[in-house]
Amino acid sequence: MQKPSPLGFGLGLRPIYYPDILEQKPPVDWFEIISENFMVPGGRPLSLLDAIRTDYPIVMHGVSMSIGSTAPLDHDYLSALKALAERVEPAWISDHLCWTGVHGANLHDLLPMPYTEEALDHVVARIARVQDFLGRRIAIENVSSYVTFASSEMDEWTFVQEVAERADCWLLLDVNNIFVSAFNHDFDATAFLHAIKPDRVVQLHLAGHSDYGTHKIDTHDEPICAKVWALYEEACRCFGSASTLIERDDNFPPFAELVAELDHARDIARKPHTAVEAVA
Amino acid sequence: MKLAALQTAFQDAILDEAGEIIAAIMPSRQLDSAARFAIYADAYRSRLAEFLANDYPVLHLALDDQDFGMLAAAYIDSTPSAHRNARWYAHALPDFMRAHTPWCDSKIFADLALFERALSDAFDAADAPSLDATALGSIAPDEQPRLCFAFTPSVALLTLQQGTAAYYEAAIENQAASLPETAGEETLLIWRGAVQQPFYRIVEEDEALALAAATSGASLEEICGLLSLRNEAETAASQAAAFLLHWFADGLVAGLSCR
Ligand SMILES: [Fe+2]
Repeated sequence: MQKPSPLGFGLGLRPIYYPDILEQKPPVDWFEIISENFMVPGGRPLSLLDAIRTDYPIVMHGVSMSIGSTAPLDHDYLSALKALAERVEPAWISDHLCWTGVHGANLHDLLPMPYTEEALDHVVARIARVQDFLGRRIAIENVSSYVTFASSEMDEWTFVQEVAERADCWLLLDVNNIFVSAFNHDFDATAFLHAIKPDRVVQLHLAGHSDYGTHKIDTHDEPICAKVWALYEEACRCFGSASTLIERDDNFPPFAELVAELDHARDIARKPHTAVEAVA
Repeated sequence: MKLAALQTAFQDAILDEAGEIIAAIMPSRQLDSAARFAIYADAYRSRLAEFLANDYPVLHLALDDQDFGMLAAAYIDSTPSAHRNARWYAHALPDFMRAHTPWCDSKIFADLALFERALSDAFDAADAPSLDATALGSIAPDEQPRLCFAFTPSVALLTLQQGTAAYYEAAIENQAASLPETAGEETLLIWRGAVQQPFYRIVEEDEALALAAATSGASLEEICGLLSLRNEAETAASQAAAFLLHWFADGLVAGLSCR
């Protein structure tokens, strides 16, 4: 099982930053696109993406695969995703361990799964079918969640690790999502990290969130907070050279601020720590 | 609860604010089950409202926050999203406005929405290289009457209340503008032009007639015929030639063929 080569430290590609990227060729190692934003007939987004990808590796990150849904897989969506991948030649394709709707609806949200054997079987089978269709392994990301289902039979980390093993897919671990969910569900975030085997982890996400006192929400509209940086340091210990990406989706700062955040991630990742991979 | 039943109940509760899902959710130390579920229900409505506000900024301005909020709420209630792309969810808003009171009572609001939608459609319409006027050189003079035109996929013609474009322009440039009140109409040509941005211009009646015919496949001869119903035959021919050159210059023409 050969993991794709690590890409280093990247940023989410957002239209507001196109001028910065095209004019300055900033020191960002790679960019992650939201796949759906480029599933359009034509125009500027696609042609700018063609330009940007001559200078930077691209990863395709989707929000609509709805891999955990009990609705049938959306073949139109998967065909569009495959066609986009043929154009973009991404280093890999990722989506979330969640569902987005049933009975033809799309709620435009990353809705939580119950952590049951039934859900595990269901999602494992669907990932396998998607991977067959796309002809490649995909990476699956843990989401932030705000409810716990009474029917859950296992911890989220057990569920995530089992999905990766049984579906034979990659993992994209979102460190901020682990932090947010750990607060909302009162679990130990480091226990999550320690439960995941590094051989599946190809990518880490970092982002800011909103703290409402009683709960935290994954809003991607703030700088990364100190506690998430600390958890990232632990993630670097666990997962070594996994590619790192900062997501920012609102309250956009000057591009240089995101580049500075990325440098901070580089500094943390470079700290001497014993990577589990190196020991194993 | 089985996965399928859980997802159906969860979704139903988001769409209809029914309460049956609450028993399936555990409270946290800080929030009860209903408050936890409400995070999803609230996010659904505010996310869709945000999609609408993003795609119809001038309509939002014209209606003000409160009335736009009412429109968004009515649309969200009537129209659960079935689309993976936010833009497609917002696409049917003008049609909703034209079919429902109070929005169908004042044409200008739906027309602003139609205009903003057309600009968005032009922005990411399919690519097609446009021809310049030299392409006409390849058409033998005796074939010219039978010449037909293919337009780039972004080209659209809209007939809206007179003053819609002027109001839009003022709003986009943050200038105070009052809503047009005349009952007249204007025809707008919308397309994606240089630097891949949407462009538009108001077309006069004769050009609107010629464009409508040309985009539905009429030949040059037929277009001249239409124009000659309104003008002298000689004027009509030179008018058609001038329109044609303008269409090439704007980058609207993607192909030529002879019938
Ligand atoms: Fe993420």
